[in-house]
Amino acid sequence: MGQPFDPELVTAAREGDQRALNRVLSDLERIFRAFFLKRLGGRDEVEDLVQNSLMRVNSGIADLQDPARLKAFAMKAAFFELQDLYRGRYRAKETLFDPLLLLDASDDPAAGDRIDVERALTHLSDHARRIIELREYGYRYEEIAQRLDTTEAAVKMQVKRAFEKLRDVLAVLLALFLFGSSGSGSCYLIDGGCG
Amino acid sequence: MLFGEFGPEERDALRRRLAEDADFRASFLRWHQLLRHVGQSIEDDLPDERLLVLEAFRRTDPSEFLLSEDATRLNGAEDVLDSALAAHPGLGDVVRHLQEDANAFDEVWNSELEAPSVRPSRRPTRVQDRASRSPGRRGIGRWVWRASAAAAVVTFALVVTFLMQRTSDLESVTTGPDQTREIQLADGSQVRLLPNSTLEYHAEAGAGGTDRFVRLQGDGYFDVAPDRSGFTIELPTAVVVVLGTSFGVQASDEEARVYLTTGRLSVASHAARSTPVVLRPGQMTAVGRDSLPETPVETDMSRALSWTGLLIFRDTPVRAVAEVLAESFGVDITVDPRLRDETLTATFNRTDGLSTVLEAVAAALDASVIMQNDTHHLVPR
Repeated sequence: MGQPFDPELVTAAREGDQRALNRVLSDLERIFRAFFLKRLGGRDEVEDLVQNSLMRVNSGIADLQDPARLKAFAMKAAFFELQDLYRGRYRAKETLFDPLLLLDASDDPAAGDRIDVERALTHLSDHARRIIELREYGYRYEEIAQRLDTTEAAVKMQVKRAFEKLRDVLAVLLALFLFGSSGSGSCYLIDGGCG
Repeated sequence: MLFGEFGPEERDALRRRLAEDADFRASFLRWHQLLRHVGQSIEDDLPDERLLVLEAFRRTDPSEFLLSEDATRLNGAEDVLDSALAAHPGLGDVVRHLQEDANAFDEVWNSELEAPSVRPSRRPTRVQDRASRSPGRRGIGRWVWRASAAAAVVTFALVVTFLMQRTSDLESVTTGPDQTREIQLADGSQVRLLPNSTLEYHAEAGAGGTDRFVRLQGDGYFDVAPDRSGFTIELPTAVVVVLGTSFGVQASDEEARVYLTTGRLSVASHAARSTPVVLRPGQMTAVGRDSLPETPVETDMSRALSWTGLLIFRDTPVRAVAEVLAESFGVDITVDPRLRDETLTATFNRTDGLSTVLEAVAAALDASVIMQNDTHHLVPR
């Protein structure tokens, strides 16, 4: 059998040779682990990411068109798994505790509160909006701080100030809407369309 | 409430406040629905989020990282992607970070292929376990143990055995009564060796896939670089195994005290290596000669690690930070009420001086330091 990632080895793995496949996956395993440890540190998530990435490679290697492009193929597997990790963190169906579940039907905005959310968001600084978007995308505040080259405390401070600003803005917009003087030809119900 | 990090106590507090405060309830509703709107609009504007990964590959090195079929996919979605990036500045940050990840993957790939591991596998791999938990995914015939307490014990025992065979050829550093030394190991880990202490280590530990092992007599503060291999510290009465973490150790012939700041580690006595305790950040344990480690207890690291000469804060309320700084430097510091409950995570060297430390704290809080009547006042800008 050839050197790791030799195109002949990858071709054999792609065609179902179990020994070749095990050899490829064994070497990919240490690369995946080293990469995820480098980017995430010693977190519990690393092992799951390694295994899921190997699963992707295993299930998709038959579709690899060019055996010489294993690196790009493996890299895509690892990055898609990492993306799933981030995106799955705060999605409602993934969280064990959804704060909105603490509210009851009388809090449903469809009952009367129509607020122009997009208009409210324009009151945020570009920096604050980036932080909120990164958080909703799935990054933790410490990760956001690293990406923006600042501290976690400074990031949370921005979130707090955004909340304080939007709390006042949303209250004003709500008042304008209730008194029929929003001046806007469109509105966005938070959880539905405009009637 | 704002940061979405709810422990059991926070949930109970939140329920009570929602029930008692109508204004808070209204603000809470609008805030979280606004966040949902932001998340939903990102999904609506970019249904195929994989495009961000492919775009990062294209921007970094398309010939190396982008498969031809993915380049075609990306070209076909160019308008959608451009619109989404224009509408959501945060997505631009995501792509830039993915580009950094791509370079990191490239480095790891080249490094691993140049220096393949020569150590026997310490853990059999069981991918079929993952397959059985994930319907629709077929196993691949190898076995992988997921990280677990049992696996940690096995790994620990193997590491202990390995180190017993490999304690020759160590370099040694000893500090005098008034001496503190900073030592950087080959893998990037750093050790702050306190006075009257000795550290023994392999000069090439961590390089070329070699295990990382040190021996400590005395007091030291460790900042261990994350790596695929464990980092082992042999003490007179205990053995510590870590993986990417920072912690302090006070070790004598009779007792070892271990204080964990970040990451995770396990501590076992020489007398009972198969029964370690696992520390979480903010906990400490003590191990006496011929004794089992004590049950880990929560400890104020800001004060517990003052002997290191470092000022260590981890999610510490600013009012507590001010108290520690005031005690350390013998000055008066006040904190504006608007800042008192903010939290700070940072590590300072006491020799940096009060002025430097306070400036850094103020910068993190977007605040200013005002000197008045021999008192330092921390106020928002």
